[in-house]
Amino acid sequence: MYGMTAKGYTAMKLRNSVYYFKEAATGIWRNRLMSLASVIVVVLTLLILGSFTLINLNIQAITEEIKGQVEIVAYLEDGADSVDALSRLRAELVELKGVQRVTFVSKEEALERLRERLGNQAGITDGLERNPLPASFEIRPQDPEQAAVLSDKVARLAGVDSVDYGQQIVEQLFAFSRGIQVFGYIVIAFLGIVSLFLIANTIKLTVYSRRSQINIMKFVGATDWFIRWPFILEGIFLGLLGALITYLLLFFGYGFLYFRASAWMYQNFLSVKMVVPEVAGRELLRFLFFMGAGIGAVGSGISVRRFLKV
Amino acid sequence: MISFSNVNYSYQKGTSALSDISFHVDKGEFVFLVGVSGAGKSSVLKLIFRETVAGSGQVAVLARNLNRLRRREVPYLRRQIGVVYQDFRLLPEKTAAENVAFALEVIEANPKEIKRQVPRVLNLVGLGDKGARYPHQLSGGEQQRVAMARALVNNPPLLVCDEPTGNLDPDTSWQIMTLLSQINLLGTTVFIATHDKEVVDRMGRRVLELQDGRLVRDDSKGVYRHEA
Repeated sequence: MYGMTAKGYTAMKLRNSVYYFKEAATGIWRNRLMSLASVIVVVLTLLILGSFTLINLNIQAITEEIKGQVEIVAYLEDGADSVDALSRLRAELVELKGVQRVTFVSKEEALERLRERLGNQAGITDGLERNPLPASFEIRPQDPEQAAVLSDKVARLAGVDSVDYGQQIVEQLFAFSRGIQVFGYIVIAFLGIVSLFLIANTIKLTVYSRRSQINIMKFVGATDWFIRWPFILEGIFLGLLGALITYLLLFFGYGFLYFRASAWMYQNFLSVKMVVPEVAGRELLRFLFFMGAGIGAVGSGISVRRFLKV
Repeated sequence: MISFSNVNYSYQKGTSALSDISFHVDKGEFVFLVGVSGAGKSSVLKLIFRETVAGSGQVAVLARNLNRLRRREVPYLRRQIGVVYQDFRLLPEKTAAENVAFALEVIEANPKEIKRQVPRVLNLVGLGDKGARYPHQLSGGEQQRVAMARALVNNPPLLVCDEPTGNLDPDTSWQIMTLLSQINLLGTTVFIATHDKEVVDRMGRRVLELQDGRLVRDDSKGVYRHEA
């Protein structure tokens, strides 16, 4: 009576999945109002989760960009720029652990850069009798978060007058981005749990309407997983549908915001780059589908539990 | 087939439901379990069906020690036990044949086998021509026959009935009992919990009597109650 061969076994599993999908579809259709309510619940929670993901994504991108710009500038003592002294110092810098790249900026180059930055007011440097700017080494650290440690080491080298890496801004930024990430995970976990129970409660009603069927399945000897699968599929489907709707809303919402914000920043000479909608959308889609399916599956798993205890 | 040795069972709140129950049912027997409501009949059935586990003592069904049976093995035990309830428990949106087939579908039986077994078992309970009817189109007795067909379709060695005639008039009850005897003659062990005095007396089969959770009588050709 039971297929014992591997082939028969596979065929049986296939037949089961047909049954599971049919039952799940029946469940959704028969309780269409409740199903609709579940989808709305998913959309509402995923909207919040998704918006948060987008914000987080942008903060991360900005942090990464700023991290990439972190540079330690070692100003040299005046008169320490003989060829010998320079090559010795350069060698010492390159030897230091965690240094990615070292660039020398001569006094002349420093002055040239200043003139460039001053633009049409560059003329004011013409009055200078001698170049007041020190020569420097620009050091790019391998790990921007280690800039503080590295700059301490650089400062101790002979010939280095002072060191600057914009420490306050960098430190604050790192603390901020770490804080945002932790906060983000907490919010996602919290909202995830809330929506899980909302979904569990709505699906519980569709389970409840089929409790006599479940009861019969239990006493004729159906396995718990056989009973559970249609409900789980139902939950996954509702979760994915909610995720899709949320995705469309957020994707177009974000696109609109992106172009508005970019235009505004351009007008106001700000150079903060938001994550482009295509990239953000890809991240968002992955996140929403994962959350939607997960919430749906676990939520319905929770609701069936009680009815399986017979 | 069924064996209880010194079984004690209490509800969650500690009130004793069964105390020191021991009995043994052999293959092919036909047994009534009688007693007033609350005497412990349902607890005995729940223990046989592994809806619950004995507090102490040992319950064995179909050569399995139910005290040690793992949760995931329970469905496979139940496939070997047909069960019939007082309230029939048919699915109203399925026909008689579909209700019977459902029991095989959900234990992942072969569709060819289902097509063969369903008419066979409907004929056995005398409903060969009514498979296409829905439960509400059938009388109470006929609905109970559908439930019996469903219980028997997987050829279980043991059939357990919980007040099978509780919702039926005396004539219909007698027909159901006759059918149960026929099924028993075909080799199925039948275990019936009931407080239907009339059928028990008329059948004259083995009777186990429960009183306040204790087994007070085990007669091989018994009646519902000996008058004192």
